[in-house]
Amino acid sequence: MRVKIENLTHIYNQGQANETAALDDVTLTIEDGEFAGLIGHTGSGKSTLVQHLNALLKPHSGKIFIGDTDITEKGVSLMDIRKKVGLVFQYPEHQLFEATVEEDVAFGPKNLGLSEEEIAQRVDEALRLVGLDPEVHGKRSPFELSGGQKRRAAVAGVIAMKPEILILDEPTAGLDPGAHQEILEMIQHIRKEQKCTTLLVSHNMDDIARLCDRVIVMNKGKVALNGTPAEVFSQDDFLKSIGLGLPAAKELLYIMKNKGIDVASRVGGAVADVLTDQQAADVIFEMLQKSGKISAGTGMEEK
Amino acid sequence: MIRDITFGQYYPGDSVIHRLDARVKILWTLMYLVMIFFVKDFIGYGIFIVALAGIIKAAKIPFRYIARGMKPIMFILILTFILNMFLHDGKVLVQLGPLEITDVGVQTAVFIAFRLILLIFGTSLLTYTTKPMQLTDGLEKLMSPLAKLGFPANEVAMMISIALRFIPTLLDETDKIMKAQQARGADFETGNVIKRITSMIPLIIPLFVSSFRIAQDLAMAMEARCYRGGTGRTRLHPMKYKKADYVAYTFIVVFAAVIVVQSRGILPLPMLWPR
Ligand SMILES: Nc1ncnc2c1ncn2[C@@H]1O[C@H](COP(=O)(O)OP(=O)(O)O)[C@@H](O)[C@H]1O
Ligand SMILES: [Mg+2]
Repeated sequence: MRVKIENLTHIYNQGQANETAALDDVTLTIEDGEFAGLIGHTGSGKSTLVQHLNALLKPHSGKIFIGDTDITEKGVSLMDIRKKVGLVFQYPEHQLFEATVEEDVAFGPKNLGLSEEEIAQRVDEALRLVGLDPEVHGKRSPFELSGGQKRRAAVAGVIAMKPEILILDEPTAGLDPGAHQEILEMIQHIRKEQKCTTLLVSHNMDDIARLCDRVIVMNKGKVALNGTPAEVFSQDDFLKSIGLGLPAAKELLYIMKNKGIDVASRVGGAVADVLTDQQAADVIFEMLQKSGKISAGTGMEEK
Repeated sequence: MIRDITFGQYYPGDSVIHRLDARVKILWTLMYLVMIFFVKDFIGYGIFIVALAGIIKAAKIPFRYIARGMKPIMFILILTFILNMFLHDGKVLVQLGPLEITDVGVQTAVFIAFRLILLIFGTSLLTYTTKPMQLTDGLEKLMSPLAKLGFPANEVAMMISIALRFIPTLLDETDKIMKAQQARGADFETGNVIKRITSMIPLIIPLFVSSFRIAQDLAMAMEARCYRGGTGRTRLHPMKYKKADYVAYTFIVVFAAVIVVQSRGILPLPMLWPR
């Protein structure tokens, strides 16, 4: 389902001394089925933006279309919007409250007014999708799970509502590298199974570069850049000026280029095309091969 | 919605009132609380309203902001108003079956409503214009004579300021959890009383868990910075009265005198609606 935002403006504490324009004339579109990434410095308005997409916040002005419905109009059903747009908050494990994981995941489907069997089936499915075992973890108290598992349980609570658009606000914040990787794999898995349009808010440029079809960069409440990862991450000076970085692989190639070794161009490419660790490894390997430092064929299987 | 609760919060600003010593503002608030019960007629309230309006103007706090702080007590206000109308003997104005609204009832109802509104307006100004840390320092200093008698002045002051400091934090937390549950289709706004109370469970439980987490983090942070209670602590900003503070004290004394004199009827001021 397509998301279309037109001239969206949001002002917190309007008319008070601490008035903040958190969103300033934001216009963007996320196409059906797309995996979009949203990056920006802390306080740039990312969380404010995503909370508008399922009508948790009302805009000061502007329109938001979910599919063909303008959700800023009066009389649209909130329940309908929340069914279509699943929003996983930052630190979603803080929302867990039921005695068992199963019951907690069932909270959303219950609010949708589904039948008992349908709820049970959705809970089962959602838990499996996030990589938890309904038999083992489902019966436990959510407070007994590990940090990563708690977060999965919380995500399951949103997935169980079968949203057509899935939004995740910094889903890997505060997790160890292992759990971080697992959560990302979980997101890809959910995407594949449920075919949902996805918006991922993250501070990790590597994740964004590797996963997303498109990257939206926010700065001070405005959309600063919007394009493919290759396009966006080619603006390295600009990104750094607004407090963001580059994917590590790209950063590496830029450092080497500044030292006089333009790896990418030596193999007939450009640094701009390199986004992931894998791609960087490939061009470096190719360069070494071409320059005869290593013989053809070695090392390939180690990748 | 939850953010409408402004009572007990700090309203950032740099006005004359904001800059006053916290002790002045605490003593003013105490005096205000006592004096408001001296008031016997609407002239007394008039004096209060004029003083309050002056302070609010000087503090540069929008009236709307303070008025919003009244919302949570609106229910109590309306309830006391209605009860008072019916519960006093006097000339019957309206007869509703066995219930009667009397002239004394209406007068009392209006009178008490004024008192409640003035109480909330006046006392909330203290926290609007004083940072929690200044408030603690002020309280501690004022209670320091008691500390000599073994009263845990620093600890009490610290507890009060932590409580105040965490009102906005907990409101933020409530707001976040509320939104997270609404994103899962929770409905906090419609339905009958029973349904509304049960709909609070998904909010209250995570809030409890969060409070414990916050408390634990805070305790850890305080311990990491070697907090061992107040004895022997020195201050970064020692409290010192300035000229404006003495002016304010003078104002407080004059105000108290005016109210006492007016309410005792010592001066032959006209009594409007005497009780
Ligand atoms: N509930 C709120 N009330 C007032 N101001 C807020 C609130 N939430 C966010 N803000 C302000 O809005 C701006 C954008 O915040 P946010 O959307 O949380 O940014 P991000 O998620 O990109 O870090 C910040 O300046 C922040 O202080
Ligand atoms: Mg955020």
